[in-house]
Amino acid sequence: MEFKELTRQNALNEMKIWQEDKQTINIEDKAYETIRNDVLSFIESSGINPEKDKYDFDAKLGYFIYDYFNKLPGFSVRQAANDGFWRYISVKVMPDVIEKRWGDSEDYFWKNPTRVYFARLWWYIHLSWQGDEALTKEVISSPNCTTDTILNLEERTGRNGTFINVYRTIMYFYSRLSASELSDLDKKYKDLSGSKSETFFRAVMRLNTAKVMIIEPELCLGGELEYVRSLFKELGVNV
Amino acid sequence: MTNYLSPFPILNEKRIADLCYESQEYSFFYKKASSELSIEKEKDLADESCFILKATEGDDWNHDEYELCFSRIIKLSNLDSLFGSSGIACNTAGIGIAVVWTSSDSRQRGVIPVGDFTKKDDDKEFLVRGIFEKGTLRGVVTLRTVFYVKSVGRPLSDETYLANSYGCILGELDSIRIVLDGNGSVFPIMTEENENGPLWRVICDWTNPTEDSFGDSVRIMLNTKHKYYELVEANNGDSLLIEILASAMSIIISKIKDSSFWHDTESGIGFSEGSVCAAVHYFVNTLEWDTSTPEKLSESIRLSLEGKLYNGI
Repeated sequence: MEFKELTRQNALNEMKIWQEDKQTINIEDKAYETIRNDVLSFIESSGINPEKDKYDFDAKLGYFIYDYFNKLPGFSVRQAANDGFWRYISVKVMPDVIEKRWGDSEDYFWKNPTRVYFARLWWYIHLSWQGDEALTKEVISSPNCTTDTILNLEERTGRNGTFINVYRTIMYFYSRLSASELSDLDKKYKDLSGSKSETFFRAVMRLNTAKVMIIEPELCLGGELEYVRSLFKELGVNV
Repeated sequence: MTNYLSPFPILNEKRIADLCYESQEYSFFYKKASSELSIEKEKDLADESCFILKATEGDDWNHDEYELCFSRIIKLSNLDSLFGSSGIACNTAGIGIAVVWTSSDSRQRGVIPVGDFTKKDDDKEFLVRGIFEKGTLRGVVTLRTVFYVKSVGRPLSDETYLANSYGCILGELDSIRIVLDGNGSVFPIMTEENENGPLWRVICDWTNPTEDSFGDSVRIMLNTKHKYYELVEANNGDSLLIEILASAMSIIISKIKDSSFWHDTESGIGFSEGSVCAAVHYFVNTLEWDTSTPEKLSESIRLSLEGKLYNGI
């Protein structure tokens, strides 16, 4: 399959063209038309409202996108890291889907690589992946996971690339906290920081960002698993 | 590496010199059938530690279909000098060597252990070897050879300030960058239509220049509706483009110089690969642009750009 790309300039231009006539989505390539049809069918059959149930929509569509794109011939992590490809998918193939979820905000169409919607979905699942479908869905469907989880996971991708296994392990332990334990932790860290938007998850991600300046997680005794355990322990949680 | 944050002794120029560090250049290759085939590496004209990888002539290596392997040999002497109160690890600890690879273009990073040594070792040779499976990486990848605490020791009374936690990084021996796609960094230039606007403007769209990508935060917008736009597009339009680039770069560097991020940018620490500060650091340090006064900056940028093709920047 030919993986098409859009430069930032072209994405800006194509977005303007689409905004002039939102009813017309011109896809020149049959393969991409198929992608569009398959994704729209999934969204319709899922029946989830992107305006009302934002996280549910993101998580379910996210898993579908992850699984679907991984099955495209020639698709790889290398392709998934190609911002130009996701700009093409977002602006040329499915801008209407993004509009229903995010309105007109350019960041989610092409401007901000960690926010371009379909890239964000694919990477959310990739960073939460637990080895198979069942375990991964168990994590992402945990009531502990919200749109804030996606934001903190993606927009704190870390300097110089992400420690993928560390993030997967964090998601594993975080998703398993009981509702009452998480509620207490969220309150504790909100009070400690004095900020209304502070959460336990943000505290974990920030502590990780600080620690990896000095420690290489994979080289710790017990590797990434024990490293993440130590992060949680330092924040007062035994996992 | 954010060495400046290190609260304990780590590798520095003197310690590395004491190790009589000898290394070969990296060689890059891939496996096809049962042979190892070489991948060519071309040194970047402006940056000695940056190599552009491409298939050798007549060969069909590409990272979508083939893996990327690297190897080299490192020879070190006087390894025992790194242990004890004047070193970087306790006498009874073990130090490991690893290659930390990072790539913001690939949105990934990882580590490849190489070997280890203790105080009992004096001279030792290490084979550095790693494989990236096909379809893993894109863009620019940095390979840093680091030392780390492989096994903790029991600190003596004069060793308590030394790093002694598993996985703690003890400094960097050296690093290189490899470019898998593209030719390094190209200044982002885009077009717009603005009937009453100037020929060009520069957009500086960063929130945190130590993290935000240069390519995403900065762009020159050329106005295709301006009466002089045809001069840019003309055959000898390069000289006008260089003038525009020089002015835009002056603006960007001045903004960073006036910010709280200047010290870090100048020193080369505390910013991500590909970030605005990383780009400014490169311009100032590697291309040696003179930032002492606005007029010196203007002059040194133009001298530098006029000596290079636009695409080589």
